[in-house]
Amino acid sequence: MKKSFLTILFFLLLPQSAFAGIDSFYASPNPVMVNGYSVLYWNITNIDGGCYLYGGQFTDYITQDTPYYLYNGTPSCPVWRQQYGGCSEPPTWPGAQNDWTNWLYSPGDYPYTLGCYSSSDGWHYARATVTVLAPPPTCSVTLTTNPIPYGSSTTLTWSSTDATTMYINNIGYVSASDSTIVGPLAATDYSCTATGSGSGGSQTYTSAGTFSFTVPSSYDTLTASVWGGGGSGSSFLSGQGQGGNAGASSFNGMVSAGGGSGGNGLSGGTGGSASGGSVNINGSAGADMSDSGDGGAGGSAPSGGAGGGGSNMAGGINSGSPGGVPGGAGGGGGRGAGGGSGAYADKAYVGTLAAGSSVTVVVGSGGTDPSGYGGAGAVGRVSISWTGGTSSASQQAILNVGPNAVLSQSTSSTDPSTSYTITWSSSNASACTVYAKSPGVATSTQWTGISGSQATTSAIVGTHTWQTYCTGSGLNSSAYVIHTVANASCTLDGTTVPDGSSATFYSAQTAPGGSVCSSISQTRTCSNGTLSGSSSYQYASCSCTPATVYTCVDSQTIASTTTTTTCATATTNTSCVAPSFCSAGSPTCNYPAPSFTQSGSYSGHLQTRPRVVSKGGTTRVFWNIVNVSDCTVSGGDDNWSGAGAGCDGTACTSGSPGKTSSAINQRTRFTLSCTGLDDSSIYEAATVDIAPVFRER
Amino acid sequence: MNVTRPLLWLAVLLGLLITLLVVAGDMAMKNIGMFAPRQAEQPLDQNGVRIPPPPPAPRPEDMTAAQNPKGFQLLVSYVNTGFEPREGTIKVDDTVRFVNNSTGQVWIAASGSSLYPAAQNGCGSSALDSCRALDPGESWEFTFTKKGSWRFANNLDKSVDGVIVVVQ
Repeated sequence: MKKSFLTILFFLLLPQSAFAGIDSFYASPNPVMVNGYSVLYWNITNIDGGCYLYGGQFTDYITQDTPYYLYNGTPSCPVWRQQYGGCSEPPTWPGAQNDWTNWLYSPGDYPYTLGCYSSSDGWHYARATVTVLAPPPTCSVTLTTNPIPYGSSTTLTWSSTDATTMYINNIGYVSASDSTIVGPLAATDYSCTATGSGSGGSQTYTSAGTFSFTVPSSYDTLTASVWGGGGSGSSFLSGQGQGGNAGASSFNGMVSAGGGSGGNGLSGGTGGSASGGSVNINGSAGADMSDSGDGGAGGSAPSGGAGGGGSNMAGGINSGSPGGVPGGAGGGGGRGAGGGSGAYADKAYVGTLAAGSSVTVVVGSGGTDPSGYGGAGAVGRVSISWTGGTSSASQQAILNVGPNAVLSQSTSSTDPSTSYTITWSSSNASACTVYAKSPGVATSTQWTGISGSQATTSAIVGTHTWQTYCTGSGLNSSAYVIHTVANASCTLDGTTVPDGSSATFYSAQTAPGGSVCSSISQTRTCSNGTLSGSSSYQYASCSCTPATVYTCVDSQTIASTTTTTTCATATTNTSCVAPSFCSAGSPTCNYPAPSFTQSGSYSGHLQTRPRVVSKGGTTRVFWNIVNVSDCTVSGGDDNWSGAGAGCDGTACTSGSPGKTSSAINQRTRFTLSCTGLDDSSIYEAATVDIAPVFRER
Repeated sequence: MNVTRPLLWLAVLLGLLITLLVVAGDMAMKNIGMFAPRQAEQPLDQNGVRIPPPPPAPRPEDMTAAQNPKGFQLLVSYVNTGFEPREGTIKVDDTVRFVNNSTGQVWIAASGSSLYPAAQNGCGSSALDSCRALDPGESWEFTFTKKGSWRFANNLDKSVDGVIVVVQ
């Protein structure tokens, strides 16, 4: 530094000639941005001793190592400059002088001095100062997915250059570059703004809509570039025809119209027209559908986005590609044409826009093809940049969020006579359609609106389906409600039976003892509010009386069935040993009643033969009884019982000869007394008389 | 003896005391958020996009060169309808930036039965605590170093909450 100062002082102290001199010495462009370049120009007269140049960051180098002496200097373009490429920049000097393209690497003021010597009057000097400005900052924000479905998230990535602060709306101050995950539930502005230490800046609008641009508080030249939106391709694959036209972009009277859609007649859409700019370039037309049915390519925007390619039907591609931003048109889908691109216009303003004033900025949307096959046109863009003044950069980034449809019903009653209200609402939707589809009705009823309600009564029995379908930001969302209508149900004894269903009802709340509830039940079916069957079956529940019932499984087996209050039953079997037998209703085995068994001329009853005997004579006593456990026969001096009476436990018999009595001396009464197996008693009697003796007198 | 004057003074003092209690109680209630006013509707611009809070003046730590090079991996925005996203998943040692994009205040604090451990700020029962109400446009960052599901809420309206799921 000290050395440079002394050198300058040396030249300043040198004597100057009045007959020769430096006519001009200046730098252009000046000022310049960091890492830019500037060229020093000079014009000298009658310099015969040569010149040299020094200054900037290469003062030492130039003054000590490569002083350029100009001999017979010529005006405006010295010989040595002509030798190495002339006076147009950047210079291509050999060796170290190539650094002229690089030395402006940091902001500041760089003085240069041209010293020329004339033999007539000595040294002449001129000075030029090159001002190096810090470059304006830049910032950008990109979203991995945009729009995002409602409730989802995406990655937001940002970057900046030459920024001292970097601010992102709805996020805050951030580092120069990074990324994060965001998940808003509504359209959110993530535009970035970078501020720098230099001058100049930019602001870019990339989202469709209307915005307000504030002119910087100071600027030298402000340039606005405007692209209209690109039209969409068209397609006839699904019966749709015309694609969507795009919107116009504008800035302060400069308008770049959006491109037209590929459309009817399968001809490509027309490009938008531009007006109001210093440069006005109309958009490119889209290509027509090919003879083979392939979609025509979309038009490319001037100085903007490329047009999307058309579908390739032979390759199985039915959809056209979207146009590139800004303003590129979409390619045509199958049997469709390409859209026209947006127009382009730009204009420079030098002091004609009042500092601090607001200018309305409109960014045109890209067209969309309702068929879904035509490629979408790209959104337009308005880019504004300025030199000098405020050092800031902004880039718009708006994350759009898809719709969220909500549908509800006031009641889910199935009664056909009940009126109910369907209410729908939505978030982020641009349009909603509500469909009501009733059973057996071919067409559905529709309502529109992003929110609303509809009171209705669904009289038709069956399932009524309500659906709301909302669209927004190129996405959609649906919600459903099912309203089921049925005939009236039946209610009896606190029990509701749906229409068409059956239930069991009872004639009493308690079943008679020994019987179960099923014995007093009836299945009744509900038909539109009326139960079938007898109204005497009016109870929905039944309990049983505890009891035991005896039945016969067979003649020798007793079944004892016990019923509880809950009508649970348990059965045990008991076998009877012959001659006992089962008798329904009897808990025990029953025995047959005693009976007399005839044998020959004997009836089985107690009989005596002869019934009349002579005194001292005997008689025979007969009996033959079955189903007795014991018998006793007695009379006179006789008494037979047990085995003596011929009893074997089940029968007693005197045998065929009978029992011979003892001598009978008087009228004798024989009795038979038996105990039946069934505990009955039998009693019979037979009398034997004494034959009278007749004496003759 | 005139008893009217002492009674009058007593009434005046009683009135002042009641006024003081009402004011103090109101301030206390606002402080603990029991009567935090419900948020107004989120303002939108003419294009239907939420209007962000105006950028605050940058502080020295807001300079790009002063920003944490690690940054933050998830942004949780508090708007008038609640936190967005209401549930987020990050990895251990990731940082979440909570930013207040509502028109009111928000105080981020751990909530629920399983609080984020280690109260380091000395202002609550968990380290997950902004320790003060954030004005619109302000943000607060927190680095989760523990795996788990960490529920948080607006201390000024605890019905508004969210959860950060931290995975390995």
